[in-house]
This record gives sequence, C-alpha cells and structure tokens, in this order.
Amino acid sequence: MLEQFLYILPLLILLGGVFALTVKKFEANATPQCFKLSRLILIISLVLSIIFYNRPMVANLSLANYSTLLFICWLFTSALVILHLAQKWFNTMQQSGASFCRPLVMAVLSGCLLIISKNLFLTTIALILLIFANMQILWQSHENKHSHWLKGTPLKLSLFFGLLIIIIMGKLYYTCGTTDYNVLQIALAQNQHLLVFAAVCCLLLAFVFLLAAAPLHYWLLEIATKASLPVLIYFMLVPTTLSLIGLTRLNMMMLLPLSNSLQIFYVGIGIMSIFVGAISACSSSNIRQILICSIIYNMGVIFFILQHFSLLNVQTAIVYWFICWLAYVGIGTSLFCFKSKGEYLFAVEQFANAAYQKPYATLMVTLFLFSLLGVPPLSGSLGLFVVLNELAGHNHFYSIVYILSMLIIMSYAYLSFIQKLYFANSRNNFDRSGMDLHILLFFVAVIMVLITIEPRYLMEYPWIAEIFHG
Amino acid sequence: MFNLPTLLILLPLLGCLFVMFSRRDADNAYHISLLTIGSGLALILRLFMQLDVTEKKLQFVHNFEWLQNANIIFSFGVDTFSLLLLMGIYLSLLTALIGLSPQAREHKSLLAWNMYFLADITGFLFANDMFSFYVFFAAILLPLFMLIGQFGGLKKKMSLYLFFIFNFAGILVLLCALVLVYKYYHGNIMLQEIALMNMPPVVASVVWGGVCLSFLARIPIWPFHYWISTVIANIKNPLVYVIVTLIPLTGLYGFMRFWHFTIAESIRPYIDIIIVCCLITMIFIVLIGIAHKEFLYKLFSYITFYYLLFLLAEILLSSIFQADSLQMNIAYTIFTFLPVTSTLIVLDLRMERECEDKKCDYRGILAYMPKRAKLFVFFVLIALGLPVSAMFWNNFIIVSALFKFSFNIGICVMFALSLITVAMLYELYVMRDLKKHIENNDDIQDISNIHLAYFVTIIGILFLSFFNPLWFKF
Repeated sequence: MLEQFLYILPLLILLGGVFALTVKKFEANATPQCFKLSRLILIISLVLSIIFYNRPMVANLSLANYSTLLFICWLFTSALVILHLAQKWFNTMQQSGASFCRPLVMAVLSGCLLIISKNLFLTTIALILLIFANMQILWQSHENKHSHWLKGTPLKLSLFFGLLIIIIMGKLYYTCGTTDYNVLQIALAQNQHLLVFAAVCCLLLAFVFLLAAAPLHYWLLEIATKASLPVLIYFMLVPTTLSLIGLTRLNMMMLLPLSNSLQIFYVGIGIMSIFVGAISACSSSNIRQILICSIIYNMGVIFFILQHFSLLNVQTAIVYWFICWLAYVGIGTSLFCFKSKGEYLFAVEQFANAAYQKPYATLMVTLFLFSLLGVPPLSGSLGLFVVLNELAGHNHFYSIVYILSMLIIMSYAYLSFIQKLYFANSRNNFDRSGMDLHILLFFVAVIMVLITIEPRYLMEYPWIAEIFHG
Repeated sequence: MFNLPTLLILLPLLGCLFVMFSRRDADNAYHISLLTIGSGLALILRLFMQLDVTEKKLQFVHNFEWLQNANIIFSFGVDTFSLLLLMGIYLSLLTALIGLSPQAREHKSLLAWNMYFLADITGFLFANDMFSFYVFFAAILLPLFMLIGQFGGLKKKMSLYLFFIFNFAGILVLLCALVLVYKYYHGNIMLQEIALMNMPPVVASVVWGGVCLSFLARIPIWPFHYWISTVIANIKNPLVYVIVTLIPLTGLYGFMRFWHFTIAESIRPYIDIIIVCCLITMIFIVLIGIAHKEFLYKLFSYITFYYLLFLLAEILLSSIFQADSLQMNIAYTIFTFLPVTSTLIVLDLRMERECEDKKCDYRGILAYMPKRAKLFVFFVLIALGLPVSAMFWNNFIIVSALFKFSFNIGICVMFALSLITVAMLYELYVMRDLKKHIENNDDIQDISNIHLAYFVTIIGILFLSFFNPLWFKF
C-alpha cells in the first residue's frame, strides 16, 4: 500500500499544488511567489517521476517505462519554460500569475495521466482535465480584461468536446464492457458497427480539436489574434504535445483494427490542415498568427504520417514534432526579447529592423524559422527528411509533392517576417531584454545543434519500442 | 580525428564564430576573415602537395556516420577538380575582401555570413555522397539570402522573395530526388556508386531529371535566369557581388559531378531542349549586356556566358573528351576565371565609389588613375583571351571542340563571345575617353601600393598558370 502511494506521489503532489494554488490568496503584486511555488511543485514532481519511472501506479490503468519518462521530462520542460517566460510577462504587466500557474500545473497533471494511460477511462479524465485547464487559462485572460471574445468560440468548443469525450467513453464502455485499450482493441476488431465507428471518429475529432488541426483550428487562430504571449506559448507547446502523445497511443493500442477505415480520415485532416496553415500564414500580418498557422501546417504533416498505424510512423511523427517544438520554444522565447515601451510586439510591422538593436534574438528567430522550413543544416531538415522518407516508403509521392508545394507557399510568410527583421526601411526602438532569455535561447540552439550533429540519440534509441509496452 | 578536407570545412566555421564574437570596434572581424582565408589557402596548398593528381577517384576520404539504422554516412574527399575550384573561390573571396571599403569592413554580419558561405561551399565541393551533396547545396541558400537581403541593395522586396523561392524550390526538388534514391538504394549512396544503382527507367528519369533541374535552377539559364539578374543589378558591395557570381558555379559543379554517371542517360530526350535554352540564353544575356551602360552588368553577362559555355561543353563534349580531361579543362579555366572576374568587380566598384565621392563622371575615369587603368585594362584583356593565362589554352580547346562537335553551335558560341568582347572593349574605351576630361579632378585617388602589390601577385599567379596550371604543386 505504501509502495503504491509512493508511485502515485508525483501525481498527488501536482494535485496538491493545484489545490494550494487555488486556496492560497496571492496579492496582485506578489507574482514571484506563485511562480516559485509552481516551480517547486513541478520540480519535486519531476524528480519523483524520475525516481519511480518504471513503477506503474496501478498496473491495469497505467504504463511506466523509459518512454513514459522521456515524455514526462518533455512535458515538465515545456511547463518550466512556460513558467519562466510567463513570470517575465506578469512582472512586466504587474499582475498576479496565480490564475495562470494553477491551470498550468493542472495541465501538467493531465499530461502525466495522458502519458501513462493505457485505459480509455484514464485518458478521458486526462482530456477533461486538459480541456478544463485550457478553459481556465482562457478565462484568466478574460479576468484580466484582455478580451471579452473568450466567451466565444474557444470556450464553447472546449465545453462541447469535453462533453463529447465523456459520451463517447460511455458509449464504448456500454458497447464493449471495458475501457482497457487492449481489450477495446479486440472488441473493436470483432464489432465494427457503424455507431462504434462513428464514436471512434468523434473521439478522434476531439483530438483534432486539441491539436488545432483543420477544420477545427479556428479557436487557436482566434486565441492567436488576441491572447497574451504566455497564453499563446502555452497553447503552442502544451496541449498540442500532450494530444499528440495521447493520439499516438490511442492509435497503436486501441484503434489498430480500424486502421484501414481511418486512413482516409487522417489524410483528409492532413490535406486540410496543410492547406489552411500555409494559405492563412501568407495572409497574416501578425507573428502570433503566423506561428499558429505554422502549427496547423505541421499538424497536417503529422496527420499525413499517422495515416499508417506503425511504430516507425509514430516515431517519425514524434521526432518531427519534437524538432518543431524546439523551434517554437526558441521563437516563443525570442518574442519575449522584442518589447517596445513596455509592450510586447506582435504585428510584423513593429519588428522593423530589429536586427540592429537585437542582433542575437533576431539571428536566433531567423535560424528557428529557417529550421521550420527544413533548410539544411538546421535540425528542421532532419525532421523534413524523415517525414518524406516515411511517405516515400509507403509510395505516397503525391503527398510529398503536396507537402513541399505548400511549404514553399508557407516560406513566403516566414520570409516576410525575416525581411522585416533585417531589411525594412523604418526602425523601431526596443527595450532591453534580460540575459536569462539569451541563455535560454542559447540552450535551445545548442540542443538543435546537437540534434543535427548526433541525431542517433533521437532517431535510433530504442525508446520507441517501449511506448506501448509496460 | 580530422583529416585535411574536414579541417578545411571546419576552418571557416571557426572563423565565423570568431567573427561573431569579435569586438565591434576596429577591424577585428575583418582581420579574422583575412586570417581564415589565408590559413585556408595554406591548407589547400598543403593538400595539393599531398594529392596524387593522376588519381581519378576522390582522395583523403573521411567518413562520418550520421545515422546507423538509416545507413546515412557523410563522406568527404578531394580530387584535383574540386580543389582547383576551391582555390579559385578562395582567391576570389580574398580579392573581394581586400576590395571592401573601410565602412563595409566593420559589418560583422557581412563577414560572418561570408565565412559561413565559405564553409558550406567547401563542404559542397568535397561531398562524396549524395546526402552531404544535398545538405551543403541547400545550406548555401541561408547565407546567400542574408547577404543579398542585407547588403544587396535590393529596391523591391519581391526580388528577394523570388530569389529565395526559386532556390528553395530547387532544393526541395533535389530533396525529393534524394528521398527516391534512398527508397531504392536503402541508404545513402556514394557518388561513384550512382551508376551502379538499379532503378526502373521511369523512376530514374524522375530522379535524375529532378537532380538536373535543381542544379539548372542555380545556373541563369532560361527560364531560371530571372532571379539572378534582378538580384545582381543593385549590388554595390564587392564581397556580395563575388558571392552571387559564385552561385551558378554551385549548379555547374553539381551538374558536372552527376552528368557522367547517370543524368546523361536518364534525360536523353530532353538534352536538346537544354542545349537550345542554353544557346538562346547565352545570346540574349550578351545582347542585354551590350544594351546596359554599366560595366558591371556587362561583366555579369560575361560571367554568365562563360558558365553557360561550360555547361554546354559538359553536355556536348562528354563524347569527344574523356570525362576527367574535360572536367580538368573546365577546372583550369575556372581557376583563372574566378580571380580575374573578382578583380574586375573590385576595381570597377572602387572606381564607381570614387566617382560618387568626387562627383565626377564615370566616362574617362581611368584617365585619372594611371596605375588602376593599367591593371584594369590588363585584367579585361586577360578575361577576353589574352594569351597570358591558363584560360587562353583551355577556352581555345573547349571552343574548337564545340566547333568540331557541331559547326552551328560553334558559330552561335563564337557570335556570343564576339559580342561580349566588343561590349567589354567598348566599355574600356568609354572609361578611358578623355572627351570630358576635367583638369581639377586630379584629387581622385589611385590604387594604393598594397592593393597594387596584391593584384600584381594575382597577375603572377595567372601568368604562371599559362605554362603549368598546377605550377604550385611541387
């Protein structure tokens, strides 16, 4: 009993953290305290997760192996980076960050559940928690009077998909009598009833929503237009990564019998997302929108890869997203360096000739954008190569042509931003940015260089084989 | 751990880092760049001493295992052909660096991107496998984009976008070809093994057609000619100008490396189209050069003409010459061609700057600068075929072989060559014309003694190459 308690301790600490952050009253100008507390909670939980990495909390519900540890480390790194960046923003705005920290810790809790889950019930709880955390983060922006729009599409959609997931879980449990992935897989192989198939499609749609892939991408575009920088970075890094991990596990452990039927679904989502991402990016005049469009595009590429339910495809998708994620972390951090008269900048026009005053941050953001384009020798080229290689392996030559054509269109959006950074005629005055941001950027760049020089640790380590086994 | 070719790739990267972290004041970054290029030249000479020039295979091969499961190994090696081209590039970049104005020498980003470009192009010339070929071919785009954007003086941002998108599309086409090769070969492939690859004919046509297309996208041949002419028209920085004139060389080099192995067989039905495009572009670019008033544009026409001539020679003369001897012929020419053209670029841009500073007329400018005038005239004459460098012999051989292959093609080439010769000679006449000579313009500065010594050294190198192109190999 004590043993089980120890294994579950990382999750309990996160839960306790959410509770503490909810109960404790933070003063409006006491920003560092809540961030310190959140950081402490995350670090303790991470350390315990590392110590008990191969001990499942409940054998029937969860996995615990080397791959879950890697994903948990990935998740905690995201959260810690976001906390650090958000603290800067809240300090500048002189607002209490408690309303941001609480949902972030909650999102980490839901992520941990999603990562270790091998049961639809646990996955449902995790997804509901994640949606709830997302809603709270959106609501936090609302409280800060940043936007009345938050009452609109994103919140309504979140509520809708939250309810939908619960209904689908209920339906599958009612039909198959269990929520265990492995048992559900056998049941789905034997019972391919239309209603069950529809339920599975609806479940996948919930993931499509969380991944912000087209046609359910509008909410993220709307957030990109009006939300604050920490909120934007949270939505760029956390829900997407968690949903991708959850989706791959669902594919490989539960939906394998439906792989042929679902292929067209994935391809359709892929085609739409790539098209929407590339075209919308070109018409954007806001770096936040460009980044979100870039995420939508990359999600499309990932859906193209995931159309085949194999370990290699899952590995390719995760490696590709990890490389993109790194670039987004870098770009997100760089955006914190561009501040003028106390205001963080977003419109592309505002970045005119930033290279003169912010050469380091500008160079970094340029390299990360070129990495997203897959220009060698930046790490993005590795991601692009593995994706194309995987598609060529399945003879999807038209998909390759489509992805690359849209990438060329996408490049126009990135170029317009880089052009503004370096070659614009006008000039803006920027505030000083902290050394910590530069150090963070340097670390991201070093990781990208390491991936480029020694990709075998990412590509060839046997972590992939452990993803779906206890 | 490192052999000499690898060291030559890493050296400019190291230079780039040092330039980036050098102090802003004084000419620290500039001196680091000079030192890096000087050390690189010393390493090239050292490599030449150890190189067996009779050996046809790449030597000093160094393999770097990148991905074991995917069977991707980066492999680098050198032969006389690649090393000669690299030496030519080093000399032309050194010339351009020396020609930089004091203000331009303080631009750290200019010098850093230049170093990065040098590392990429070195890796490209030394690539021994298809994957590293692709990586370095594509990597060149980033410094080019930044250099042209920052220092190219482009008035329309669309030209910059077009430049990038044209080249990016070329890179992606090469990537597609690489992926297909990877699919059929199950791993990375060494250049010398390409001919042994067993692919269905249709796939082979797609792959090698793609490879050919991506290289052609870098050579200003119709319909890919647009971007380079719009980009080059406004450049006033000698280093950027020289680098931009090196872009077609990357396409040509790739073409020459792959042509013998497979491209020729796989795209045989389309060869005539390429030849016709090549000849038409050649004649039109020369006519445009004549129509333009600026010497630099004429020089650009001249450079483009020569790249197209080499391309034509590679396509047509493979059956007459042995592949290696044709490559060496072209390499000897390019080795002298690059320093000559870069010297002309530097001298002309310097004169233009003098004209702007002193507000004098460009016409007759050479009359005020006796030393520069002599140098300029001499280099123009070398470029046009004065028998004092290896260019004379090798051009003679290539053009006569073209006549031998097809009289009509030979006539077209000679026609274009005559036109560009007339255009450049006329420009020389304009620059020495004393009709608008003003006596009080004597304060125009002539070339400094250090620069004069440097250019005389270049003349010495060219002159020695007339007797033996590899005179520096002891």
